[in-house]
Amino acid sequence: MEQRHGIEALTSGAMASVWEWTKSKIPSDLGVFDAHAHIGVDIDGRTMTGEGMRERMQAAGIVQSIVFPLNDPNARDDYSGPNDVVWSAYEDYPDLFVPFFRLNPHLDYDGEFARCIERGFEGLKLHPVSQEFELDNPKVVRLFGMAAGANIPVLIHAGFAMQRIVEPLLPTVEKHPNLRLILGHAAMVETLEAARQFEGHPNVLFETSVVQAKDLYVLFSSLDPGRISYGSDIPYGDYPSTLHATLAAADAAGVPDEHIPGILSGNIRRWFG
Amino acid sequence: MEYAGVQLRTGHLLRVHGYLNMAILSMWMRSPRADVLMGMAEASARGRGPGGSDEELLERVRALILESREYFAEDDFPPAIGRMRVAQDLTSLGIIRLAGE
Ligand SMILES: [Zn+2]
Repeated sequence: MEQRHGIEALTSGAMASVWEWTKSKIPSDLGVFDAHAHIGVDIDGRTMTGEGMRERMQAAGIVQSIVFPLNDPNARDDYSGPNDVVWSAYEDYPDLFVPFFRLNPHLDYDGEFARCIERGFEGLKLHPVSQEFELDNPKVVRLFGMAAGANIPVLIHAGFAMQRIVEPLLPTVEKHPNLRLILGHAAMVETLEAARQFEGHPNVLFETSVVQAKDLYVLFSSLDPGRISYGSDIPYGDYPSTLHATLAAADAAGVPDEHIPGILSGNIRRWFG
Repeated sequence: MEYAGVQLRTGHLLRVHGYLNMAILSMWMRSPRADVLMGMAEASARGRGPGGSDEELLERVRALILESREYFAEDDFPPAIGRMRVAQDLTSLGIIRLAGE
């Protein structure tokens, strides 16, 4: 089956006016930074390559993306295989990608953690649903401490299927004020409580990928927009619809236009040299 | 044209939003009923909304659902789910705007 996932299918017909409005909200000189995208293979059958990401980014005007593995069937013990796939995509396009590695906190992760830091990965991705752990699991708390020690940010899946986010994460945030955390999918079900509890912790960012506009409206109405960063979650999201959700929600919440460059890039891009 | 207050208009948009939600979830879950639930969402937006003041929004939502069903029938998921996502976002933000009227 031929899939027309190109920008045409995503922006034609009834999407044309949506995409036009979305582009009109993005300053013309701004290169958008995508804080959440995947490269590799997932057990659900989805795949994405570095080349596929490059095409999508170029078509939509995205200049840089954080990329990390999917829930890869070949992850085995330490995720080294999928992490290698991300690294090789990064080597192909070093200007486009900010590579994060992924780990399974249940398994022995010290070796792969050290290998990835040594190699130059710029952050860690953790997925509590796929790898079936709670954010206050001692092995996970230890890993957060290691990330703080190595001075790398951690992106946590804090979206669909999550049931506990703020309460198990708060002690870690309080213990490691310098640890940079990205709440993937903006803490979705707990977005309002997360905005309240993490408001005073400037190193916690809320990332918007595939979050419904109404959740983002509440977030933008409750938190400094300087703490919110755009993400796509490709291959689960796409650029036109996720950019629209973020910008339309910010617009409805009355976020002044001067904050748009930060939301679409600066708020997180400043973390990476 | 009949008069419709903000509450009735909100009620109608909430209906459409709810059916869109069911359809989107069924698409993600790869439910064999996804096409049926997308058809229900399409039906919920059919015909002029109460009072007619939300026609511009509803017209966009109808067109997005229609195109989404076409892509979905061809097994082309990204343009199908993207359109449903935007249809739902436009509807929810429309409801939020109405609440301020
Ligand atoms: Zn993701």
